[in-house]
Amino acid sequence: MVFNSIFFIFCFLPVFMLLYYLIPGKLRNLLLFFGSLIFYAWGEPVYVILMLFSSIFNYYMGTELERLYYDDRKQKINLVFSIVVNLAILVFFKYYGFLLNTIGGITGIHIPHPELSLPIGLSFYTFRNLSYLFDIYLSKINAQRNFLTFAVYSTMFPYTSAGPIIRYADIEEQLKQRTINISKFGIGAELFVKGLAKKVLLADNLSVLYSGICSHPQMSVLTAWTGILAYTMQLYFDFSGYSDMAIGLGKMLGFDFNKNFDYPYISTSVSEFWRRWHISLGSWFRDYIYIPLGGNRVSPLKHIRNILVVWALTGLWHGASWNFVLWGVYYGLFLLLEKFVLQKYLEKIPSWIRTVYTMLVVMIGWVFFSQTDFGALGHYLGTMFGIGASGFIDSTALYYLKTGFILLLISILACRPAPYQYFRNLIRRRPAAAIIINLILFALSVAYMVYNSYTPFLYAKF
Amino acid sequence: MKKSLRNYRLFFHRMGLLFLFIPLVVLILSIILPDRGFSEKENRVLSSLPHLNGSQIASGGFEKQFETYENDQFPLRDLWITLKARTDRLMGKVESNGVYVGKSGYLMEEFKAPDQAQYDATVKAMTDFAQKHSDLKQYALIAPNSINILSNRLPAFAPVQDQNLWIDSLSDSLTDAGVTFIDVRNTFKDHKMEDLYYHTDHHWTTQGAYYAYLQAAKAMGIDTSSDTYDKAPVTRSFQGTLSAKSGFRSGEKDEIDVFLPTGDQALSSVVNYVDEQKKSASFYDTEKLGTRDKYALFFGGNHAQIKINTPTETDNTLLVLKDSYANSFVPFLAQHYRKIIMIDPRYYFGNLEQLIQVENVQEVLYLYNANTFFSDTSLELALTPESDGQDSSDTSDNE
Repeated sequence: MVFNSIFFIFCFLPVFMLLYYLIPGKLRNLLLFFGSLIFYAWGEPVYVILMLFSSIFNYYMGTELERLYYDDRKQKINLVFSIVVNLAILVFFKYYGFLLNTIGGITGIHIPHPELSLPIGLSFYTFRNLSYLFDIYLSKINAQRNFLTFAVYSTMFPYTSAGPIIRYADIEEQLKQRTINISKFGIGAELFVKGLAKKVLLADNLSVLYSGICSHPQMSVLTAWTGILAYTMQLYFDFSGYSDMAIGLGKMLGFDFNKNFDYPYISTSVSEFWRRWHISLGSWFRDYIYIPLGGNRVSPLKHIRNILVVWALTGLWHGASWNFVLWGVYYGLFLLLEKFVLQKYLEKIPSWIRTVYTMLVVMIGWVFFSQTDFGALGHYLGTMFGIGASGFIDSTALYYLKTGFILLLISILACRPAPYQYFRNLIRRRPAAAIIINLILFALSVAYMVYNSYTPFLYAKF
Repeated sequence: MKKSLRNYRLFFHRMGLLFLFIPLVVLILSIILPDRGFSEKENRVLSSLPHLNGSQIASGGFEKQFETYENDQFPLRDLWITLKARTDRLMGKVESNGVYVGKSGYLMEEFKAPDQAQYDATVKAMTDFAQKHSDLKQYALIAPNSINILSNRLPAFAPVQDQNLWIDSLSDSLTDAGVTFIDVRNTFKDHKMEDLYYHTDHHWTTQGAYYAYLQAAKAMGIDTSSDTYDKAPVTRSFQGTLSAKSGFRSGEKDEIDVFLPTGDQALSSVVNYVDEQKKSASFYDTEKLGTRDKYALFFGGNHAQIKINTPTETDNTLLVLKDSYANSFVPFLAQHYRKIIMIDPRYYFGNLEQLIQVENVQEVLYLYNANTFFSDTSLELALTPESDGQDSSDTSDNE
């Protein structure tokens, strides 16, 4: 089930929330667990078993790791075993075909393999469960004895399908004890509406703009840049919108999750960008890969290795294709460049130039992200810099700039903090107006969601 | 300060109440309100509550159907769809589902460049047919679409494909093969200030068909000097496919006219719907004016085969291979042919060769609109007699 659907908002959510608020507090975790299973199983009925297995396995391994606290060797073996099992599942479902294709490409031996559909949220819950085990191993947390409590952490529907990757340590207390009331529900609702509007009104329309542009095999330079601008905005509003909805739903349930995006597109350096973009993933790689590898407290050569390893893996996490690895390494290289060369220059120039620089790096980066085919990737990148382009500007570019102008303008404004600050002031001064704005955004989002099923039957078409 | 804090609390409290209860009320409403069966706006049956079924649940099929059902039966569905389309327009969107919002109220369908292999096959089938039947007079009228003739009314910079390149290429190939190509583009451009096309539909108007007819008459040697018509509007509430397809201009309505021959010379025809085994004394099925698809007024829509007999002085038979553009066009020709056989290759699976012999056809007219013609696959099949035993032996004899 996805949040941005009529069914979720007008069927699942009201029924679930009504029950959640009416039943005694003791039963809420049980309801949340079963509600999450239904949420996941809806549309993914078979793979819910996989998610349950992962919960049970990691629950058990968590208690084992804690039990073996005084036996270093056995604890380590158990940790390695549980990492292997978790990653084996992830690799099997997500990277199996990719690995075989790569091996086939190198050796020429083509091994036929079934095309498995990727279980929803697999990358997210694998990383979530791993963080739980790592934290027990690092003695940051105690293992959860109560299976239901752990299962709620491990399967909770607000973040099960698309993150954020919430750490157990951050919500340990809330899993047992949390307050719910109408005002907190309202805070959640405001976040949810914001996220829904970002996803449905901005990201989905930007996606139409981008795919319209991509339907032209031959582009001018300006068309290519307009396309990648649309894609840049689409990705941010899609992902941050989904995170806002998740955090909002968490609030409705009484949880306080950390933010996952912090206006990444106002960053003044690439390293700052990654402190603001998908924060829960960046910190996961930092805490569980980069720092265990030695981080920056090693020789410069090892430090460089650490950064490149972490970023190749970050890239690979985003998808089973080499272009994602390339995309990750691209960022690794820019981070190294900033760390060792650019930093002292960047400090001296005005912040708006630094933001322009950062956004250029980011936008070019999204080209790597958007094209899984290397030929198409090279062609698009080339077009952006005039190689193979049909001139600098053409009427196609003007068409998309003209018809997408308002959308792009709103998008550029809406990825900066100012509109949200204005809105917070409005709440203080004129709460009724703020409510009306939310209702309008909600109604428009509903209209776009209803339209998704608009399929006119064209009688005797011609 | 105190007041702003109070406002803050008030806001979130009200938001909480609203968003706890709005979805609940909508849910209750959608349960209470009776399900709609048919959507006039979308011209389709809306989905109904799916049946619970174990294997369907396990495969995810039930869940999908249920979501479609919820969407289809959402309270005030049509209003939401209109709201979406209006918002799109406000945001500057001028295209949806391949339909452009043109100036002066025109919706125009995009032209998709044909698949080269399919195009080549169709042209080859037509030229082969022309050579094989060099005794038949053959004409082709491929009507340009509004996106071509009214290109100056397209939204600014619209990235559309040029239909003319393809029409020109087709014209050359067919002319070389001895088919007379009836090019109505110049005539249409001369009259483009008139309503040659419906504003909300992809068809030409009867006026457009009439101008095309005058042009065709010249090429086909038809004397139109004694033709006189009464132009009669039969409906003013036609909402065509393009408005349904795009969701734009859903309030706009078109007028449909019929041209009725007047004067003492006017002959009346008998229309024979062969497959349906139905005869009629009129080209027009006025019952269709009560449905959404009002263009089906002409001959009741598309049929595999229609024979029209008219007591003309000359004894001549015309075969028309056609799409729906012909439906409003052929009534003009009826005054000048003893027999007209309309074949729609998309629905016709009979033997064309036999038909030509049995009916003693002397002339053949291809009548299509360019958008359909250049995406069509059925004409090639109808003209290529390979599946039929007798015909294939004929071909081998020729070789």
